[in-house]
Amino acid sequence: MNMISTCDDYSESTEALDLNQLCIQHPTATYFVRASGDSMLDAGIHCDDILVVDRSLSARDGDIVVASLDHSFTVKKLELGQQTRLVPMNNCDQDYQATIIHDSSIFDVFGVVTYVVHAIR
Amino acid sequence: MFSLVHCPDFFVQCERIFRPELKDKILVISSNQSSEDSRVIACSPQARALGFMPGDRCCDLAELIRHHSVILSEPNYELYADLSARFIRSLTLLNPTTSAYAYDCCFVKLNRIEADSLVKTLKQWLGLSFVVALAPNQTLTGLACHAAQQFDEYQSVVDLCHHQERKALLSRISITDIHGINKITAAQLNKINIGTALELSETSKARIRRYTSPMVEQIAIELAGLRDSELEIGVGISEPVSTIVNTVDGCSLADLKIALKTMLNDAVGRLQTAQAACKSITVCAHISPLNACAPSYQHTLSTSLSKPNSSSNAIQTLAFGLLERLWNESYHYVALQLKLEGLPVAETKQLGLFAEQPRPYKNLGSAIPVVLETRFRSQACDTQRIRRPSSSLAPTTRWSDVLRVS
Repeated sequence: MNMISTCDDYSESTEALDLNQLCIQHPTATYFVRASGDSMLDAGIHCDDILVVDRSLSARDGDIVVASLDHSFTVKKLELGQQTRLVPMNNCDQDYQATIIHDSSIFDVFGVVTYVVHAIR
Repeated sequence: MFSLVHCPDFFVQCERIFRPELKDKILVISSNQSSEDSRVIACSPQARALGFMPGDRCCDLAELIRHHSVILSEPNYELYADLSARFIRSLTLLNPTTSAYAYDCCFVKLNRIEADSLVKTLKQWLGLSFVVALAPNQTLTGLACHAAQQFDEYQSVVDLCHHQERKALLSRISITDIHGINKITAAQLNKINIGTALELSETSKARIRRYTSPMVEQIAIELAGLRDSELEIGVGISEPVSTIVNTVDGCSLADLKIALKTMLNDAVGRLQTAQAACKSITVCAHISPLNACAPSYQHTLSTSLSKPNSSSNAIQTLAFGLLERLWNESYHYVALQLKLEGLPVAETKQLGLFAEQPRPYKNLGSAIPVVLETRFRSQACDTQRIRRPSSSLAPTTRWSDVLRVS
């Protein structure tokens, strides 16, 4: 039996696994940002990690979002309850406190974080 | 019906997406900031209200800049090119009838209800605000976009398909705001007491033609709401077909050529925007069905190009040749139809996270400075070339420039 000709039957129909297909559902609405600091360590976000941010998703309670608050960007967990809050996720550092979004705040959700790319080497 | 989706103040909006601190500031995007020949490329509505115009020299406006704390920013062509590509792809995904007209506007086929939903979706996906103009022809869609920017009561969807809304708007628009009417033509029209778009639309064609040109007459016909209606939008941006029908009124070959030339400019422009070359030309001259002296028929001639060509001169020569063969001095023509078929464009790919992929509009960044430079030359300004700024940021296309968030 000729093994090469058996594989040839599949060579044109198979594609290599593509991480873009896995991580980017809406290419035209997806942006990448780089994390700094350690306010979101408990969410698995380390300093210099790349975050995949999807603008097409509507942010829900509990989502990790990139938002603009008073003209600067931040990445935090969004809580939507009686109050809207941006909550850090680092229990080891008590300096990080949740921020309550008031009506007077200049607040806008840039997008929802869907994947984190963390380099370990 | 025409529907135009347009992003007003595109460059300014792009800057504000990644720099939210600029949101409420008076922003001017200017070239060559380190030199004395720094020019305004784009400005926010607040800056326009202060008198800034594209092409102005910044050194002449130094006092205004200081007094109003105007923010000057270098242009980020890579960012603009990427966001333009995202806009066109998003719109094509949402509506396959999209036909890109320019980097900041596209024609689509949609109705009023779809327009509202489209504006909201594009705002969410891209962070850019859009205006959708719905009108029976191109001239009115252009005016609808202008109205959305100039008058506060017009929201993001401007519908001029109904006579009353059209009339109300046209009475407020000066003829100098109409695309295709320059200062000389405006002066000619002023002499016959035409100052607003409404007055132009209500003046007789013969009178307009006597004092101006067939092109202005065509504009007046369109302002009255007559359909330029057979402009077919190519399906997506991969199958460019441009068909235009214009009403004409005459027998002279010279007049028909003038009308055809205007149509050619539009049709060739659309193919060029879709990065397609013309492969065949069809010209059809419609005779009045009421003409008792001639049979009622549509006379059509086509030619295929042995080698696809995007040169407007070559296409014009061929189209004129077809018209000359069709034309007969005995007939009274009422409409001309022009159809250009182009070659499909190649697929473009979004930048990926993990693979090196070709940039979709890689030439747009280099094209934008050339377009602006041409405009500056026509204003008899210095011909110093606009240099691509070395300090521009590209947060969507360069890893070194991606936004940092804490």
